[in-house]
Amino acid sequence: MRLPSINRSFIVLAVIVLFLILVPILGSRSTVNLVAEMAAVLAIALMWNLLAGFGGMVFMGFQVFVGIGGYAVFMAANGFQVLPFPFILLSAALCALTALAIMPILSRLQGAQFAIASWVISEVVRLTVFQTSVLGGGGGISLTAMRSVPRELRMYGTYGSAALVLIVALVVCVFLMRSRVGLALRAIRDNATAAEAMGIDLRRTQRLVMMIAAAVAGAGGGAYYMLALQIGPGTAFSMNWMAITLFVVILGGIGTLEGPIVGVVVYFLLRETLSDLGSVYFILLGLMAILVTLLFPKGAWGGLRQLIGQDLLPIRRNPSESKG
Amino acid sequence: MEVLINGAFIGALYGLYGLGLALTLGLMRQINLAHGDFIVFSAYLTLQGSLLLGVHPLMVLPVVAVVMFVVGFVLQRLVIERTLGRGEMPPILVTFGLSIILQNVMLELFSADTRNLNPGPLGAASIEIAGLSLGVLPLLTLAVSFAIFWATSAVFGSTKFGRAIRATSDSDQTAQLMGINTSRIFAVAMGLTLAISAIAAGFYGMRGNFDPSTGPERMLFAFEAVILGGVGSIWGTLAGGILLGLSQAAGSLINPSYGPLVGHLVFLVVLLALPGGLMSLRRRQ
Repeated sequence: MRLPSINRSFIVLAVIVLFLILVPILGSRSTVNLVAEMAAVLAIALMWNLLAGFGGMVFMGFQVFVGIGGYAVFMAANGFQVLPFPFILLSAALCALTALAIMPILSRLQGAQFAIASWVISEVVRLTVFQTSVLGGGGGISLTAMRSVPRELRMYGTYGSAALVLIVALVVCVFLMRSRVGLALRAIRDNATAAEAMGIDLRRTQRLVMMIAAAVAGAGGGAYYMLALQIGPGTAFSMNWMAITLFVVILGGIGTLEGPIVGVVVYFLLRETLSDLGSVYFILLGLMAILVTLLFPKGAWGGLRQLIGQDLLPIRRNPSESKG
Repeated sequence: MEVLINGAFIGALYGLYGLGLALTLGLMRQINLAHGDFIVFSAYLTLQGSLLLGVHPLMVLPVVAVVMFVVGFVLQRLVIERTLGRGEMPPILVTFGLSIILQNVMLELFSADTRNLNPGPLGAASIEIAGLSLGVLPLLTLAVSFAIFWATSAVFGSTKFGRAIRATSDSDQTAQLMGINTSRIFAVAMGLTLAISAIAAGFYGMRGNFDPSTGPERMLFAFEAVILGGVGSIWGTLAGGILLGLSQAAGSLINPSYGPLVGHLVFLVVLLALPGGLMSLRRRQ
């Protein structure tokens, strides 16, 4: 039976929320921490996919938002010595402002130039943090505010923050892509000139989506580093974030909502089983990313979708629905 | 003053990094994100070669350049060619994957230790010009950069191969109709890109330290040189590289660790104020 597509999205979203609620009730301590980490990584990957897969903006410096989001939580919570969890809102706000500030540079660039300029921006932030002693300089800072927090509260609070960010990321993706903005975004990706001729405000659409993606990714970074309890410029602004994000998105299927969800499961399965291999593990990841891009551009979800026969989080509206 | 002059010399090296990138960017409208990792890889090959044979790094450099030409040619035919014509994203994703693979292969083969190429007596030699003491090695770097830029622009301007490249760059479909084997042109261009980068790598290794993780920064410097100069201009890339080198030197005068940061900032400011790069200034006049 085929349900109207928006109802199908609601059901799938509800199943994911139910899963996220059941994990802390049924799961062990290590499972809860692992799922929290997966949730933060998935939220970040979903947002990168929103920019690159749906918007054609290949933002290769996406770690800038992860890092700023993490540092925002650490500085605010340490400064006031209070519970860090609410400060992921601060992470989101700071990252949205950062996106707004860098859009004048990026908005006229495309493709490779956009990719490199965004990377350079991330490097500028990394090097600045490295030189700023208030932010801990090259050595980084610990989340000292977490020391007085009881262990249970620390675990469930961090998990809750990460899960909430993921739910927001999923809801934002589904509703944004079904809205006029999502339609405009894909029109720009497919043909910017034609989209502008149809009356789409190119810069406004891209700026809005960039701010949303930055905000959610920043909150994801905040949640991730609450789990890590330690942040430094070398790791928070590392290209490794880009490698993980790309792997999750490409392997799962770029330009789909289901793809990164599949990708994050595959990525963590591989990491939990193969990461002992060290650099060989990264060589394998790189090889898989290249092979999937060349041979299976639709990713793992592309294959699964053929088996299932329908989208689980549909973003295309059926013509018949708008008639009825 | 000497710091700035040295900066300009290093800048010529950045221009050389950028020259290869400018070639592939202008021709295929795509960027090789593993460009910097190939530079570091070439530096390691030069190191291994000179240790193995017990000769000066400059002696093995031509051989490494030939090897890297073949690597580039094969890489283009086997991998990168398959990403063309499918939009801007696949080349970026594939070469990023390549970058991760190369970094980790180098980590496996050569460990994470910082290395450099021993320039021998060349390293300390200096000559006195107009009251300034200038290193022989930086001067040699500048001379070699100029020679390679001159050779490249000569090849582009007045040979059949250069004409074919320019035609392919303007419209690869039309060039194909005119009987030009564009896949072959692309592969030769990628080979040349890596060969030029290998020469640059030799001088990079004699001046400073490298390790498997220093590639991406080289790639950023190369790209900044291309954009600062203006895409599609050969001499512009050299000018862009020198501007970048000067900016970094000026930054390091303020604080020794500010060099790359100031270089990046200058790049972003130019991108904002002068999207066409330095060469657009000349055209406007």
